[in-house]
Amino acid sequence: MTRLRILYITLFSLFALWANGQSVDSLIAYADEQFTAGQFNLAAKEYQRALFFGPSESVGALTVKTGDCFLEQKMFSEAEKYYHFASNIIQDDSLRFEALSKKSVCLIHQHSYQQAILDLFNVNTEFSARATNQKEFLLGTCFFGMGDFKEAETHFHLALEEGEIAKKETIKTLLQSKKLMKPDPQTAYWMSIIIPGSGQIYSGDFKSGINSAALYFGFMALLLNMTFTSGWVDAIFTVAPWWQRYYTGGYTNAKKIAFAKREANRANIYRQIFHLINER
Amino acid sequence: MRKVKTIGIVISFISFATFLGAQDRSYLSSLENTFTPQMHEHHYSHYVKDAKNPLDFIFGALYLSYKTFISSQDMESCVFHPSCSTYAIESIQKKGYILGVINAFDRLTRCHPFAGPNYPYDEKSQRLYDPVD
Repeated sequence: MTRLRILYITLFSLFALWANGQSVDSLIAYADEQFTAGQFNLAAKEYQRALFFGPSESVGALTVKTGDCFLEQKMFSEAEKYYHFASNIIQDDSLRFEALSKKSVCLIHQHSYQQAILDLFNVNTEFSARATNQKEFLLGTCFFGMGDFKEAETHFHLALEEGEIAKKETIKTLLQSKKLMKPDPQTAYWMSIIIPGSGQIYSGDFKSGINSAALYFGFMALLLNMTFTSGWVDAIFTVAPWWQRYYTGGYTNAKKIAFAKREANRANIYRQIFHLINER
Repeated sequence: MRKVKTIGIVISFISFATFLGAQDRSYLSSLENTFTPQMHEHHYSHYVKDAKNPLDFIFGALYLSYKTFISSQDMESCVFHPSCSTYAIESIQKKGYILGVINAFDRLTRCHPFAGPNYPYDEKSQRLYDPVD
């Protein structure tokens, strides 16, 4: 019995010598494979494991890779944390810029423009003209998002090469276009307060404008009819709340519609600038 | 020993550089549509299209008309997700005409600003979650 035990222990010990744990390199290779295959969630988990077990020299690169997995999944807040961490530990200017510009992209997606501006102003891009252009483009995007089109124009111009005068002129024209400010949500709001439905028509939504006016004047007619037939107390308690509800809804919606239209106009102009700068 | 250390450092630096070295600008492409407003397309017509009998069609048409001409002009006043009108049509589909209508009226009595503590909160719609059982 004792001999058998010794035999088993010896065999198992030999087996343990045979068996190999997964190395960090194979873990990273597997994560890279998953990333290429578009399995970003799985890749992120593997990179996180590699970060935990891997050598300290590769922490910066692995952190950026983990951030990339979240960026691909449009999980901007999570990705930003990894890029932020990476930018704090990476010493090389070029790689630090890469991490910080990716962080800025995440911040722009989250509409945290001021935070992105702070990071971009603090990053060194003297090592490459291309990096400087990219930094200026990101700064221009931030100012565009904040509605500071004058400042955005300055940075978009700096994002272009010296000789690209035609493109600079086009950007200037686009950023001085009245479409950036129209339709004005506040104007639409006040128009609908004064004449129900007019704010929506001003914003270009005719269907909603006519609908709103029909509801307002319909309930108004009902209110007056009830006042004359059943008395003003009945009218106030039965029809007035509905009339008030759709009147309030009308001017609130007019503001929302105008805002959405203006945002769509701005998005369209930004898209044109984006193509002008990035397609060379 | 020093030689081994130097080789180690050089290898790790090279692998680090190849890992990140090529400046990939593809992430910038995600910015192209960053200012495009997110439009929530609503499709209410399937209750009419999928109607199995004339009564289903009438209820579907009533729901579609309410959503298109009345609800669209209102402020966001319902505290629940799904909204009371959607709850009503789903309730009629699941529980039949009589029980469905009773259930819809029950929902209307529960829809008020003090309903909060009794229902779970739905983060996505930012409303209290109360589906048809």
